[in-house]
Amino acid sequence: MQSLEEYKFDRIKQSAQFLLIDTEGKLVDSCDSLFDTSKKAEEVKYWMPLLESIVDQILTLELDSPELFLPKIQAPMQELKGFYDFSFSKIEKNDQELILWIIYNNTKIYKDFFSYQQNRNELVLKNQRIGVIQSVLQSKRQELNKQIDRLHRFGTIKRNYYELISNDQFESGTRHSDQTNDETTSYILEIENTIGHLQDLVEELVILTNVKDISSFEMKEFQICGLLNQIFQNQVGNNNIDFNINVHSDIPEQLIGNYIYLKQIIIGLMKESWKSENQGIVSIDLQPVKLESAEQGFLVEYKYSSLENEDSLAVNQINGTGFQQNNLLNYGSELELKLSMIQKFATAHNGIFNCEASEDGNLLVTFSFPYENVD
Amino acid sequence: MISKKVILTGSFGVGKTSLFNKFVYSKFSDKYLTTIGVKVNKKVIKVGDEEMSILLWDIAGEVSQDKVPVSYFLGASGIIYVFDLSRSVTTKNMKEDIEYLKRLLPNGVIKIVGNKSDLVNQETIEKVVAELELHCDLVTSAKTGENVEELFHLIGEELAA
Repeated sequence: MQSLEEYKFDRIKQSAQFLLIDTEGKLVDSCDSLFDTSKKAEEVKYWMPLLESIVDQILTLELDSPELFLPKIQAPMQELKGFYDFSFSKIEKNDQELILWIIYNNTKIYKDFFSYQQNRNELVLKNQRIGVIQSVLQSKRQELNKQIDRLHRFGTIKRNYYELISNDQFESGTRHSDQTNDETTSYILEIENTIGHLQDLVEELVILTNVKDISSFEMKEFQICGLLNQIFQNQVGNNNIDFNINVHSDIPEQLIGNYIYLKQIIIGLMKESWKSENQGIVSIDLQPVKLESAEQGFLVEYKYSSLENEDSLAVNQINGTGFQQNNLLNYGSELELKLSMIQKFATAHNGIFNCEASEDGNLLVTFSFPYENVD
Repeated sequence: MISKKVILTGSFGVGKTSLFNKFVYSKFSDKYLTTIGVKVNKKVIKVGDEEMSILLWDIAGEVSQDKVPVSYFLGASGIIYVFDLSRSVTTKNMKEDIEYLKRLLPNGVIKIVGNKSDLVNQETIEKVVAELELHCDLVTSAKTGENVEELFHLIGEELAA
């Protein structure tokens, strides 16, 4: 049975090797606890590339130089395949200056550390890769959405174009050469028109999807007559409808207000008027009005009358707070939704809303619009 | 024969050990194995008419070079600072690292190398190199061997001069 002293000696022996080197770099003595030096070259620099590369620095250490410590050296030579710390210091022994070289065997500790560092680094690298992939996916998603939008646009343009060419004198695939330029011009106009319609549609959808959240108005400077004329010009081509605009002189041409809502309300109402197959008139009348919650305001009266049934309004008159579904007899849910939007718009600024509708499509909608003067 | 100590350093995962293994053993592995501390080996190259023993120190990657034990740099003649062309994060501290290394080895030869050129296309390489704050000396691939020998000959020639 080992004594404690012997046990301690064995443990220390396994954990380190002590060597002495002279000032010429030759081995003087070694306890050979980790490897056998008896068959090694006389000059230690040939034992391992590490020593070869720093032997000059080792041999020029002074007695009062701090210890030269090199940690975590991996497999420095054939006989040492683990992880070691090297320490070099100059000592004096028997009046001779020697280099004390201690090799600490920390293989077990550094192997544990290796596992930790490997896992940590792999995780970091993985997260970096994920970050790059996510960034690429995001960019691809945006590109995909753009392409989808383009496809929708092309789809509408294509449909309009086919409608256009099917209206021409076009038989069995042959073209009438004298019609080519007219066709091209019409086609281009149709595309422009379609793009304009698409833009309106997008704005309308944006507003309809935000019906519940009208509280955030986007106030912008715009020209009221300019806006109304633009709306009417975009409706060119609808031969059934005549347009009248009247803007009171007290309402400034340039003002600040939520022009997108105003534009979409009027366009939305006009689209309802198109549904009527009768000849009709759309008139829009703007009159100043005092509003509780806004600096300035005007009342918009939108009226559509079919020429056949001019006087058929006032069948179902509703004031202020709401309209009932069974009063909008033949119109269905789209008009309800639009009127609901106008009602919420008016409610949001404590304004005015009235609606009258008849079975044959006549419509009178009155709503207030707040604005600010341009400074 | 001349012997020169050269250090491979840079952030972790940039391919220092792969460059080391490709140069010393002509071997490459896709598997990532972290380096603890330092591994040292050597290879003899021809520089002009002379032979030169390159004593190569492969140091464990650190995000910042001031974390590397200073004793590793003792007696070094050259430093190869490696970054990963496919990971821009590995160039984040490049300027500060090079300034630090120049202070440690004022007379040392330092080469900046972009590794893993096999993972990126030429356009990306040009973009990455153009956006670096410092000049990139060489673009390498430890996997394909592109410019690996050239790298050590380049540094060998400067060390011999």
